[in-house]
Amino acid sequence: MSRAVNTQSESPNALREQLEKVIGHAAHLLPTQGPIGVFIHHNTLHAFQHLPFEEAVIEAARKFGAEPFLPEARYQYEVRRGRIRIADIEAVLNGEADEPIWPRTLSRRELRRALIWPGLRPFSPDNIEWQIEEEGVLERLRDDLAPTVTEAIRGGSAEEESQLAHNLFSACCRRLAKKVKPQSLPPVRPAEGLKRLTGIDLDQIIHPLLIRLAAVYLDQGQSYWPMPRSAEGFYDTVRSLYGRDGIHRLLPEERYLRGLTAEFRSQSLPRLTSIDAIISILSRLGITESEWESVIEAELLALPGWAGLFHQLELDPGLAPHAPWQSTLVDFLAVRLTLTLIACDNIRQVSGQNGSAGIEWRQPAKEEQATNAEHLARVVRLYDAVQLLGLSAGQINSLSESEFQRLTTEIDLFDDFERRRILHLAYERRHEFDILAPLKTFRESINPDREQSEIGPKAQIFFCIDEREESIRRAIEEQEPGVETFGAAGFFGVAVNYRGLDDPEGVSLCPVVIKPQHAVIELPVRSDERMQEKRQQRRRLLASLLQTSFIGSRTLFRGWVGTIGFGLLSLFPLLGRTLAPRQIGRLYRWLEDRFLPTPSTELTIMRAEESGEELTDQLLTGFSINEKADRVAAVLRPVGLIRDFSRLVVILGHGSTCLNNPHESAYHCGACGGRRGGPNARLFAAMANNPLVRTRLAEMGIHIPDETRFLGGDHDTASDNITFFDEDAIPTSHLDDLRFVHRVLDAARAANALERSRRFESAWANKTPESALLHVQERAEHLAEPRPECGHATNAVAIVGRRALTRGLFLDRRSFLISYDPTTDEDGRSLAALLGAAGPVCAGINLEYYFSYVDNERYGSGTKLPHNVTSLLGVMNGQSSDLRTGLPWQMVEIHEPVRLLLIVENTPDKVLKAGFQSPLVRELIENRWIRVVTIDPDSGAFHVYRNGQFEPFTTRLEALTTVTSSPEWFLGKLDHLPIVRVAGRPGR
Amino acid sequence: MELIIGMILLLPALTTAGLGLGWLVGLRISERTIARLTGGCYSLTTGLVIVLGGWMASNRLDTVRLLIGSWFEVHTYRFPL
Repeated sequence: MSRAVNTQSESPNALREQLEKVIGHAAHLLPTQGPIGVFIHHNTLHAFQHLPFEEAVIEAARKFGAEPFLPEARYQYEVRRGRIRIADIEAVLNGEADEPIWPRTLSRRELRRALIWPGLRPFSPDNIEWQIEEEGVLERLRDDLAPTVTEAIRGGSAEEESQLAHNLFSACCRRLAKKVKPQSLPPVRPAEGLKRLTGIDLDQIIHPLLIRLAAVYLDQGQSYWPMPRSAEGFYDTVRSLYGRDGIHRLLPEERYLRGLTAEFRSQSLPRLTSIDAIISILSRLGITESEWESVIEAELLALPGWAGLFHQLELDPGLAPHAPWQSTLVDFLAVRLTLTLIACDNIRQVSGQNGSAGIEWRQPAKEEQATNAEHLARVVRLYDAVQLLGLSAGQINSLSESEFQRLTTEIDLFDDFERRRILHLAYERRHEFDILAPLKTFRESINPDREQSEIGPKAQIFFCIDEREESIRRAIEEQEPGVETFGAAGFFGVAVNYRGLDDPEGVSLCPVVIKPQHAVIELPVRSDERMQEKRQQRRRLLASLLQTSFIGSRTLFRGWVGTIGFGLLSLFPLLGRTLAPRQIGRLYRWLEDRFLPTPSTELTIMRAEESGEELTDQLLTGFSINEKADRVAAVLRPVGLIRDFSRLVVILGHGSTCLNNPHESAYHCGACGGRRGGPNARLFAAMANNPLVRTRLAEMGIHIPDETRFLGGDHDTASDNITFFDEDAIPTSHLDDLRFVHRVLDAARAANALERSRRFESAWANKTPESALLHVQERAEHLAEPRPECGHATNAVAIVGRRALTRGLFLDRRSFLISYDPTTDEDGRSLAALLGAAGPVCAGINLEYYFSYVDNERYGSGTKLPHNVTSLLGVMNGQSSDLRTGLPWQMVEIHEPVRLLLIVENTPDKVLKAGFQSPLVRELIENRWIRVVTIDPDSGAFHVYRNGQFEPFTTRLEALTTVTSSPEWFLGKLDHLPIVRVAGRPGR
Repeated sequence: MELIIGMILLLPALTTAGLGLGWLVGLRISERTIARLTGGCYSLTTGLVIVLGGWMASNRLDTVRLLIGSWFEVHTYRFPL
C-alpha cells in the first residue's frame, strides 16, 4: 500500500516551519533531565501538568507504556496490613459520581465497592487454563467471600459449593457472547510496521550505532580519541564522518545498514540541512505531512533519554559541564531517520518486499474474533466479579439482555487502571489523615505565638527546608531547648552565579525557576595569593598525570606496560576503599592537604554601584548594600525573625558527598539547582554581618543587634559532617558561643546519624550515636556502597508555618519544614514568595520520587548495578542503551509514593491568593499535583483543598502517643513511623 | 598453602552459590545477612591473599601451584587442573 506524499504542494520554507513546529511539539514529551552532574528534580510528567493528576498519569501511562499507580496487588497488601482502611476506600468511592446500573438494586458505587475489596483476581489469556486447573477456580467459590455474600449466591439452594460454582460459571458462559476484538492500531512508525511484517526489530539494528555516535559526539572528556566534530552540529559531523575515506574500517556497515555511507554521501552533495534531510527522508518513507507529528513523536520516544539530552543541551548549552557542543534535536532526528531509511530498505530487500513508491511498512488493520483463551479469561473474570457481587446463577440467567449488557459494561469500565486509581486515592487519604490528625491534636495543645524570653535564645540555626534536615533540627531542640532552629530554602535568598576557588566557570546556585543576576567569585585573600598559584600549578600537574595515565591505559603499548608495571598498585586503594573506607578517606584528605594546601578565601560580594555597570557575562558582579539588605530581609522577615536575635546565628547550607555514585548530585540541595548550598550560606552570613546592611535592615524594621554574628556552614547529609566558613572572622568575644554551637551540633549530628541508621538494613552494632556517626561516615566513603544515604526517599509532606506547630513532634524526616510567620505577613507577599520558590522545588522532588517509584524501569533508571557512566553526561545500562533518566531503585526503594501534602499556616483565601500568583504553583494546586491544607493562624482550624474548594478537616481528637526521646520511638524499626510527641517538649 | 589457595578460590564461589541456592528455594535473605556474608567473605579472602603473598615473598617464590586433579588423562598424557 502506498500513500500520496503531498510535500510538493507547499513551499520549502512553509514545510520547514511546519516540521520545526512538529518537532518542537514532540520535544515536550521528552525527559527534561540534563547532564547527570547537575541533577535537578522535576515533575517527570511535566508535559502533562496542564491536566488533572489522575487523568495525566493514565494518559501518560498509555502514551509511554508505563504504570500510573502501584500494582493492584500492592494496594491489596496495604489494605491487609492496615495502611489503607476500608473506610478510606468507601470515602473515596462516596466522593465519585454515582448512577444506577439496575434501578433500585445495583448502583455503580455498590458495584465498585464490591469489586475493589477483596479484589478481582487477575486472569490472563496466557495462563487461564493453567489457573483453572491448578487453582480450582471453577470447582469452588472464592474463599474470601463474606457469609452473607455466599448465602446470596446460594439463593436458598442446598446445593454443594462445587455445584453452585459450576452453575454460576455456566450462566456466565451462556450469557457472555464471544467478542470481536477491537481493531489493532495501525503501526505508527516504520519500526513497528516492519516488526509486525517481518519480525525484524529495526530499533535493534539502528540503536547501537546511533547511541555510539551520540555518545561520542556529546562526550565531555571520557573518550581518549575525540570525534572530529563539525561546527555545524551532530548531523553534519556524522555526514562528514561517513564522507571520509576508509570509514568502512572504523564503522563497518552491518548487514541491515548496507548503503549508509552512500546515503550520507548523497545527502552531502546538495549539502542538505538537517531539516531538509528529514523532509526528504519522511517523503521517501511514504510518510505524509498529516502523519509527521505521530511518526516523529514515536521516533523520538523510541530513544527518549538521548533525544531528551540533545534537546536539553539545545535549550541550555551551559548545562554541558565542559564542552558545549552544538546540539539540536533536529540533528539527532536527521541522523536517526537516515539510519531508519537505510535499515528499512535493507529489511525490505532481505524479506523480499518490492515497491518503488516508498518503503512499505504499513499493514491494514483488521477485525478479529477473540481467541478461545481470551474469551475464557473474560468469562472467568465475569464469574469472579459476580461472586463478589453476590449474584446467583439464577439471577444471571434471569437478567434481561440490556441489564446484562449494563452489568458487563460497568465491570469492564472498572478496569485495572480505574481500580488502582481508587485504591491510590484511598492510600493517600489514609496518609493525609495520619498526618493531619496528630498535627491538629498537637495544634490544639499549644500556643503558637513566639514566646518572649528575658535571656533570649542561646543560638539560632538556619537549615534548608529539606526534609532530611528535620531530624537534626529535632535532635538539636531535644538536646538543647535554648536553641532555635529555622528552615529556609537552601539558597537563602541569594541567587548567584558562583565560581569557587578551583572552578573553571561559574554555576547557578538557586532554584531552576530563578535566573541569577549576580556573579560571585571566590578568591584567595591577598596574603595567600602565592599559595594559590602553587596550588594551581600542582593541580595542573596532577590533572596532567591522571589524564596521561587514563589515556595511556587505553593504548596498546602504554596500556600493556602500565598494566604489567603498575596494575598491582591499584589493588591497594581498592582494598582500602572497601575494607577501611573511612580511614583511607582520611588518608586521602591528609595527602591532599599536604600536596594541595587550601588558601584562605574571600568572596567578591561587594559592589558600590546600584546600576548594572559592572557586568561580567551579563551578570552583575557582587551585590550593592541595598541588594544585600533585600536578600537578608527576604529570609529573615518571612520566618518572623525580626527581633530577639541570639549572639550567634548559624546558616547551614547542605550537600552530599559519596564515592562512586553517578547520581551524587541528586542528593545535593534542590533549592541550589542540584548543587551544594554552602556558598550561599557563607554569602548570606557575610551580607548579614555587614554594618551598612544592618543599618538598611533597621530602616526596614529588622533590628539586628551589634553583638549578633552570623556564621555560614555546610552540612553533609551523607557523612553528617558540618563545616564552617570564615570561623577565623568570629571575634574573640564570641568564642564561647562558637564552642557552644560546636558542642550542640556535634551531639545533634551524631543523634541524626543514629536516626538515619535505622533505615539501613546493613547497619549493625550502631546502638550509640557515636558508632552511628562512624557508620554513616564510612558509607559516604565506601566504594561499593549503593545507598550512601536515603536522599529524599522519605519525603511526603511540606509544612509552611511557625516551628511551634511542629516543635517537639517526631516527623520521621518526612516533612519539608519552611519557616513562616503569618503574623508578620499581613499582605501575604512573603507567603507568595515562599510558595513561588519552594513550592515547585518540593513538588518537583516529590513527583520525581513518585514516578521513579511507581514505574522504576520506565520513569526511573532501574537498578544501579548495570549503570555505566557515558560521556560524563548520564548513565546507560551496560555498554549500550538509552540514557537512563530518573532515579535508580536504590534511591527510591523505601519511598511511599504519595503526592506532596502541602500544609500552610494561613487562611484558605490567603493561601490561594498567594499560591495563584505563580502560574506554576497555581497549576500544581488546581490540577491536584500537590495536596493543600491550611491551618488558620488564629483559630487553628484545618481546611483541606478538594474539588476546587477548601473543606473543613474535622476529626475526633485523640491523645498523641508520647515518648521520652526520639530514639525510644525509632530504634529497631525499619518502616515509616507515625507522628508522636517527644516528651519534655522544650519551650522558650 | 594449598589449603589457603583453595579457600581463596572457593570462598567467593561458595558464598555466591549459597546465596543463589537460598534465593532459588525461596528464602528471603535480609540485606543485613547478605552484607555480613559478602563482607566476611571479601575480608577473609583478602586476608588469605595477603598471607599467601607474604609466604611467597618470604620463600622467594614467584608461583604457587595447586593441583586439584586432571581434566583428562590418556596413558601417560594428562591435562592437569
